[in-house]
Amino acid sequence: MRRIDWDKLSPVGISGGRRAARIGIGTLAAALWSCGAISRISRARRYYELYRRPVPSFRDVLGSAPAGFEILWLALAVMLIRNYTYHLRDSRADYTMRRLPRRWEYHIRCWALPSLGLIISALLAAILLALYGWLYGKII
Amino acid sequence: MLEIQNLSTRYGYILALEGVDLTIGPGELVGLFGENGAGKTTLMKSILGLLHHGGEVTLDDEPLTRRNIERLSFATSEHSFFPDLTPEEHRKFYRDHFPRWRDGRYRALMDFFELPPTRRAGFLSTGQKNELEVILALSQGADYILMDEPFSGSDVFNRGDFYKVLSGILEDTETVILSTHLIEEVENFVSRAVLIRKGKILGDELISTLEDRGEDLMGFVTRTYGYEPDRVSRAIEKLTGEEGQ
Repeated sequence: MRRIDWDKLSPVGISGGRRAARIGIGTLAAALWSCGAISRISRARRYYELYRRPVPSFRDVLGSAPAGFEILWLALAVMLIRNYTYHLRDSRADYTMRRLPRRWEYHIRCWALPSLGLIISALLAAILLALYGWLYGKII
Repeated sequence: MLEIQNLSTRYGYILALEGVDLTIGPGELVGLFGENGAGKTTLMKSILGLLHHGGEVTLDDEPLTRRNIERLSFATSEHSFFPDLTPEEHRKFYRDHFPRWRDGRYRALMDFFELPPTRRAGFLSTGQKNELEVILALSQGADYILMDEPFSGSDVFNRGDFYKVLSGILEDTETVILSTHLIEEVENFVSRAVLIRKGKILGDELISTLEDRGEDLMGFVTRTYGYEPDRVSRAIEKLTGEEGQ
């Protein structure tokens, strides 16, 4: 299998591999943070059984579980903006990028990793949300 | 042949270029002269498609697109290199992206100017940054090399060396369009002078025609610009007169 050249997916002079690793760690951290929803679901079940407390809605049970993903998406948006402004720092490297025979190279290098990070993390967030929804329905 | 027809560029409400027509053939060494804000930089950036503009720019009767953009290179005083990359990394990047990259020329120029190949471009001195910028533009393999005040901030020895090297290495088919304020320095380098003022072409003459008329480049520029040689003395006279009253 061909290895992905991450450097070709980030602005020239920025290590794409390091960026991809950071996005991966961020996605993993966001997923782990969201796992707090599992304990809140089981706690809600326990409170219902022991004290007959009303069952909170799924939204209330989730609480701050999506916060990690929201922070990650914000960071990805900042990364996208910084990818463009990077070309204006201490020179006008954007002039070179905009003159390249490969028409989309400039924008690909700016958009690729933030977009990839967004797609993967959004998919993972959707899967986790479905899992928590399933647990909520099953336990409560 | 680079043809510019009815080129107009706006910065908001300000018309920076107005109906510019210019034809530049292969092998010409064109000096683009004008005061600050005359439109020299805007003209170059418009030719390269870096600014939105009206009118038409064609290269050998073909509009400038991604298919032929590599035939134009650009060296600017703003610098268009990547500050985090070393000259050697620039070489690899340019070689990968510009099919007609001239490795031999790059190495020869790097040797001549004794540029450190492994030092980040951002850490080079101002003169070295200018040299790297011009070396990249000259080595890209372009037919038309656009240079916008490329020696701004460089010392006189640095600039002098460059003109000599440029004159020596350029091939007959290579065209240079050089914008500069240093009119007297480039007099022996350029073959044609184009004067621009307030976004319009004010004058366009071959240096040989000027020579035939017994006029030097500076004379042509000051005459066409309507520069009054005694304006400084008149201003001083007026100022000292006011002080005396």
